[in-house]
Amino acid sequence: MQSRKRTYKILGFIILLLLANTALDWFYKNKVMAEMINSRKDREFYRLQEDFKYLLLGDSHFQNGVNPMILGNAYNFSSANENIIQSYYKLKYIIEKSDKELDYILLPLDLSTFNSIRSDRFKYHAYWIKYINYYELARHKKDKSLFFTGLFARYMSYAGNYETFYRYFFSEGKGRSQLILGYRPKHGDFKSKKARKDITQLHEELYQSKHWLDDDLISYFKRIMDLCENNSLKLVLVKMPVSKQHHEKISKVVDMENYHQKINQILADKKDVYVLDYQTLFFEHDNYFNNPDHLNARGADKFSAQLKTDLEKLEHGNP
Amino acid sequence: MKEKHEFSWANLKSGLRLMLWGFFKKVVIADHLSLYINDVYAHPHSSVGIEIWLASAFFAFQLYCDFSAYSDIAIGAARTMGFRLMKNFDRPFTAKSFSEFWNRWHISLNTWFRDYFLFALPFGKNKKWMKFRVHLNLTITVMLIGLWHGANWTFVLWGGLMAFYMVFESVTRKQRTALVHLIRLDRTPVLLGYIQMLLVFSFMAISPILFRANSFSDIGTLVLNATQSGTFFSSFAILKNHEVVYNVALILLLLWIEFIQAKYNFVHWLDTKSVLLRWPVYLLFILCLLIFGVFNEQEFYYFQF
Repeated sequence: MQSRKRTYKILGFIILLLLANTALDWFYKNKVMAEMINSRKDREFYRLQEDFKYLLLGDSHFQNGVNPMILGNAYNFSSANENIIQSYYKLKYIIEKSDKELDYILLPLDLSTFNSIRSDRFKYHAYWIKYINYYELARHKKDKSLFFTGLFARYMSYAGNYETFYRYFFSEGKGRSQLILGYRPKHGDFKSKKARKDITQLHEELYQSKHWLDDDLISYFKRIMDLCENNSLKLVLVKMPVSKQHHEKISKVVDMENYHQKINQILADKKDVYVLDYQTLFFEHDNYFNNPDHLNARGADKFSAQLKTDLEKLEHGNP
Repeated sequence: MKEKHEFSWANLKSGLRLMLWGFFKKVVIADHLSLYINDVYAHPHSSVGIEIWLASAFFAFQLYCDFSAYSDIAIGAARTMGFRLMKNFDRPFTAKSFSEFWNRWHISLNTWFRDYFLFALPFGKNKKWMKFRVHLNLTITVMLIGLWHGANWTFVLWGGLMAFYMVFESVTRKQRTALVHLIRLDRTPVLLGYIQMLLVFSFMAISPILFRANSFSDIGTLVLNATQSGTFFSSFAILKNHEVVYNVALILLLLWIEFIQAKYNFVHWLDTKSVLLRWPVYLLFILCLLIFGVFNEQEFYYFQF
């Protein structure tokens, strides 16, 4: 009798725990996550009835650097810290599950694009669970923990996300970052000394890595190229403008010639894959940057106009 | 030698509770503190002033939370199956002397070294040299404990520093007592106790630099940067950083919970209450563990030893 009573009590507690977990999971996904930039972009992108000629994927270099209003007929679906793996799954989802008609896929091609540090840098799993097949990814990377990460993201999305909760409850600017068709303008000025000092330290770690061409990222990049080829999409890789200071610093760490040579080998024989190089475009304009390798709003507008012209040339067979 | 270990609900409950507390200390406190600490120790050249002092103090708590969590989970798991294991930590940061600290920290290891090594060393028969031999034996033992943590000179140096603290404490006992009497601190024993605790903690918190730094050159850089007057006061701006505030809040929470448990036996009190109070407390604890935990596969720090 006593034993049965205890079993009921244990079951009761487990049910209560599951209910609390479900409620928190729901709250996190539908309230907390909904305020995030990525989720706001998602809602806008799928709600808009129109098709887009240009779809931009990739990381913050695009998110802060390309204004779709200037580019025209474009949506900037890139997001901060997004790596090639995430871009692949997002593109795959859009092609397979949405009815959007696209012509061009634009991706940034920077010195950090294939860096091994980026390969394991995943954040906001509760958002990415919609796109990423974590089981497949875990098998590909031979990393079982990714499978469990996927399970957590699906059923216990709030776990470990106290920072997001904090921002949701206490941040004054939540859900208010300006977004223009996915583009997030930044208004800092790299020319100011403070910004120069702060950000150089921030970027140290990323560029100190010696693994510039991570196998997993290359493999997923090839998948993106195949996906584009199979769906008659043109892939445009954009080497984004960087400040002169940044370029000089990185040149000392990275064998740039060798890096670009290897990239060219990967791209060899691929149809409808184009590379546009703007790295040196704003060498004399530090005031176009928010930090060493991210454009500010002024720079983004100038750059977007240039990109628009070049994409039009590309379309007319004159790259 | 053979002992029967029967299953009991009381042991199961108490074991699970201890494990839960262990997990909380590990994933919520220790792993969160490690984020700040790792950042400072990974960039010794760019860390300055109070940043390094804080990292050092945080590391003392990280080490404690990590290792005591590991012990609590092991002791709790054993208890669920009816095994009673010895306590391994007994609120070491409330110690008022270095020798008391070592009686409260990693009790299993220290008692083993005390009983099977220190006591086995010859103390000599000459009364004149007896005290010297005691201190020498103590130094050898503590340095050996340091070496137990890893074949690295930084661990030996750490052991040496610990031995120095204890020998210094023993040698200066009379003078310290006289000083306390002179400044009339012995009239306010509570205040004296807190000052002693703070002093012991401060000295213990400095030593982990040797334990945590990656090399001797890093130790030099950190000590130099921590004491540089040019950047010392400007580095106080970091105290506004919400990560630092959060870490301090976690430490205060830890100390408060341990204080409540020691003074009022909170667990026993909770046991006497109905499920209407107990279950929400357990649920809150589990959900806090899930929300505030750091789940990026951080191993127990002591796994490396």
